[in-house]
Amino acid sequence: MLSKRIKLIFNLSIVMVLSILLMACNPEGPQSTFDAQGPVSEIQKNLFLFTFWIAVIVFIVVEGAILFVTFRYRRKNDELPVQTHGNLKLEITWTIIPAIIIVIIAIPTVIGIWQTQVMPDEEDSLVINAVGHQWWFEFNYPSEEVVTANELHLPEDTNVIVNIESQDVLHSFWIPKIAGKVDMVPNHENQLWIKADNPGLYYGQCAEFCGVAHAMMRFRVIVHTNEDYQNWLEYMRTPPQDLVSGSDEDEGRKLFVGNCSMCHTYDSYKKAAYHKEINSQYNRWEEWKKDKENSAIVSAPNLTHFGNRITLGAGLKENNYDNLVKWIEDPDTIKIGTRMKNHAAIYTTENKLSDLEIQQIAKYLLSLKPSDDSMATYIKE
Amino acid sequence: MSSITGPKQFQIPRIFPRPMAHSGLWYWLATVDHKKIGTMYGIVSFFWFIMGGIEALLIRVQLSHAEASIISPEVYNQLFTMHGTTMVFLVVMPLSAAFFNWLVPLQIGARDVAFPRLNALSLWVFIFGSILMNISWFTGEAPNGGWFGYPPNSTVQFNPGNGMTYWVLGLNVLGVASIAAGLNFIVTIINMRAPGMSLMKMPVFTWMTFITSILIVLALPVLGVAGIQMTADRVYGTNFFNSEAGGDPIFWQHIFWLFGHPEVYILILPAMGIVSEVLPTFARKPLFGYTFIVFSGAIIGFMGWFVWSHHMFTVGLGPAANTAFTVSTMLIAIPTGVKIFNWIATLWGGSIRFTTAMLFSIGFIAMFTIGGLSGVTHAVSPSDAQQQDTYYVVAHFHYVLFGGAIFAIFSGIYFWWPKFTGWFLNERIGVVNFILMIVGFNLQFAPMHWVGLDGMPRRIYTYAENMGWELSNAAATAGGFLIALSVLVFLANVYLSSRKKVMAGGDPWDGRTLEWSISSPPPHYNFVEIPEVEHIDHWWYKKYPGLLEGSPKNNSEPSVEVEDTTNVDESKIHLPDLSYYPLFIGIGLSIAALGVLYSYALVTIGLILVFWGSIGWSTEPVNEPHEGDH
Repeated sequence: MLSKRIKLIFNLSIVMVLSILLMACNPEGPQSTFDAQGPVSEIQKNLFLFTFWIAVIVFIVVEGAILFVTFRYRRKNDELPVQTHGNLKLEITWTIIPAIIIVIIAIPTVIGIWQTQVMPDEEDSLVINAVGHQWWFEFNYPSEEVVTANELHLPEDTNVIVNIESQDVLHSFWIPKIAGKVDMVPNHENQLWIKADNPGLYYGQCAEFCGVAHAMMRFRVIVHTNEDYQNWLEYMRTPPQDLVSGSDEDEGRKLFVGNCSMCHTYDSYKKAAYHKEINSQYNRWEEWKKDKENSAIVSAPNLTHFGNRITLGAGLKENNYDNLVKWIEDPDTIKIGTRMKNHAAIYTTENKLSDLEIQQIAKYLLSLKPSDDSMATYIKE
Repeated sequence: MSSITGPKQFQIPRIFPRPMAHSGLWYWLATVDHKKIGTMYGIVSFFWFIMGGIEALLIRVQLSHAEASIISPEVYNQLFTMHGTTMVFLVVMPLSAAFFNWLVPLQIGARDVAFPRLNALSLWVFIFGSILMNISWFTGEAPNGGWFGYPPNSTVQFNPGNGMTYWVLGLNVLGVASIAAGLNFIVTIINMRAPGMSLMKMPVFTWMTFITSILIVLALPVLGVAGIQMTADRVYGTNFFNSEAGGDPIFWQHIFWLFGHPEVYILILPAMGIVSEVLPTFARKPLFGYTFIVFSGAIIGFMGWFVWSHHMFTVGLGPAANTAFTVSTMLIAIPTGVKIFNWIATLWGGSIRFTTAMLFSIGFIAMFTIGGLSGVTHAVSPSDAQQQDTYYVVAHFHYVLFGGAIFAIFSGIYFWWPKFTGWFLNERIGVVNFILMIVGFNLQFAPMHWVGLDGMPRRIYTYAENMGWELSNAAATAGGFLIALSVLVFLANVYLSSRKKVMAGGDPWDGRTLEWSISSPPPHYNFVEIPEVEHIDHWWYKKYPGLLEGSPKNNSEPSVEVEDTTNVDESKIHLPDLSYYPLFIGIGLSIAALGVLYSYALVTIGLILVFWGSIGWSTEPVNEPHEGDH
């Protein structure tokens, strides 16, 4: 009876282990840490795997010993077994062995800490500011004077120092394939060193619980070749295409300027617009802080060249006309907690936009990009 | 223990007569018997275990597939906040306290704990504190800032409403219960051991209770301070953590984890104690390396104070701090490993009987080892930057706290149930219970390892379809329901076993420690005569004195029987009388805390109850003069 039970347990555990292993890690996943695409994530992955394989050996030894004793020393008769109380040599052995294992793991770990957390020389690095907001990411390029949101553009194979801060609550800045996360903390600036090996599209996501829309605070990272990156910077300084007067887009522009531009800057391509935008964003925040319920303005993503963004709603939905119309109609149906609905006058009954007006705004937003599209090479989803 | 019947002292007027009956509701409300208090701890915290489990199931349902919209994000945040808070503060801690209460006096040969009324106070403060925290569900404002309550998201600036205030007030009230219990057990274990029981002859469970109690007394006040600061921030507008006024959110993290990491050992050391009692009993061998197990526990408890910032590797403390906390964290693996090796060595060469209790204890070693190993991968702080706040962490601590603490608690329930009640839980159903739980547990939490490493953050109520997380999440949800089924099987076991009782006798498992030397359930005075202790596992060697000479041969029949207590003259045994004051203080404290939210009138009423109870308590004699007293 007893041995049957044990066999059952044994068989069940084998089935369980096999079925669980079937699901195991898939590096193809867009946020898989096993597909390291930069030196920082590479160090982190290798350290993990190094520790993991040591742990696997310990696991096999310990679990093997547990299985062995449970099979070998099943009760067979009523005789009392030999009463051992301990063994000093054994105790010393199994104190020293883990200690040695710990040292073996600790040495590369400590090296890894300093490799990944000491910043490269600022003069040879691109410095970017990443600011967390409930629930989107602001990205500023101070030396290039470029501002964008929810899409981080990086040159390949270049040291990048990301200055990380938050405007409101804690967030965490994380691009799993490029580097481990660093928290975004108000009143406390952090730095993260990243470097991307290969051009491509990468996923990022907020990893620190930040309130009701924490699950929907995502971003995309576009790593360019160095040439493309320069093109992108140039692109971000180029005015958007001209609109035919009287067209839907142009009507949409008027509506946008009248109703939305208090919070959403759309013209940071202009010279000297950078510092103005940094100040505006700060003032919106200060204004909102004073009266969180009724403030007419609130921090909001910069929409310069929004027409070329891959996603809307901070990495949530594909940026296309249908989604955009839905978004403007009622952002809460796509993303809970958006401040837009609480603060923009267009969501009050008396100032409600008509369907046509919403469509015009959507068309305008999608037209917000320079006419020469070739300057921005994107990997479309 | 003699009754105190000195000159008549001042007593405040009683509203109710002091209860004297030994049964009925009034008796249970006023009891100071550690066994009754332990039972109530157990029942109430098992109720919260079911509640916390339902919260977990709702979370799992919402995560079962991508883009699900079964539970709203607001409710989801409340669910995971209360799931964590419930399981830590209302389940594992008080379930451990149930075992402390039941077992420590029995294991050390005492008639009760050192301060029986204080013990009752701990119970009532815990019960009403747990209710206080959960009232918030009915006002629709359950706490929603995570069990860790990180500001600024938990500040009133970003989280208005009463939810997090309920949470922090509840924690402060529960802290009172824990600190009082911790003090009580420290004093009990130091002062009330039977003659001859030196510290190094104490059962390991009592040892772990002792270390845990010291940790509780040192760690909970830290949380208390943080809690008072957060209450002040939320209710009175102070700015300890309010970042908008320059307050420092990281300050909270330091104090929370300075409490929080010792708390991890508060949760796991009692479990280690349980396992250390179960394994030797069913292997019929002494615990291997008793001294090393005890000292490892003490070292873990001590080193637990130096690792708190490993919860903060991504906060930006800099490479020097991360190095220090990496190394200190890794060091804890050594005493933990020593314990695991000693447990296996205890089984080695034994004569193992696979009771349900034993299965759960072996399951504990197997699962806790996995949790320990993933813990080492967390200590590697560079790769922890990838793991922090992902499901990999969720997997890790569930292997430690579910595969560890909960498995050990179930082991303890099956092991000591016959001692608590006098009858057995059904072993066949018990095995089903175990198999369902260990399969369900691994199905739920093993996939979380790789779904975390594949980049799934914690505390997200939904995820996109293309992330490659769906299969693992579906499996985890299925596993959750298997665990739920196993808990139902356990409840069925309790019900069915109580319908057709198989009586256990005093020493059903051929036990080793003093609790098995008396009848089951134990008489209310525990021991007719306080035993004189000569050895570790005193009862075992009393049964098998030949073992002391070394040879197990011809020693397989116990030479003594459990004492028959049917004809004991109880008039010579004095136990403290009942008292309803602890109950009133417990109610008063929670009413006062609730008043902080709603009205000063409630605060006043609550405080009046507390003061009345305290004065009544301090002026009432331990015993009323009994009939037939000298």
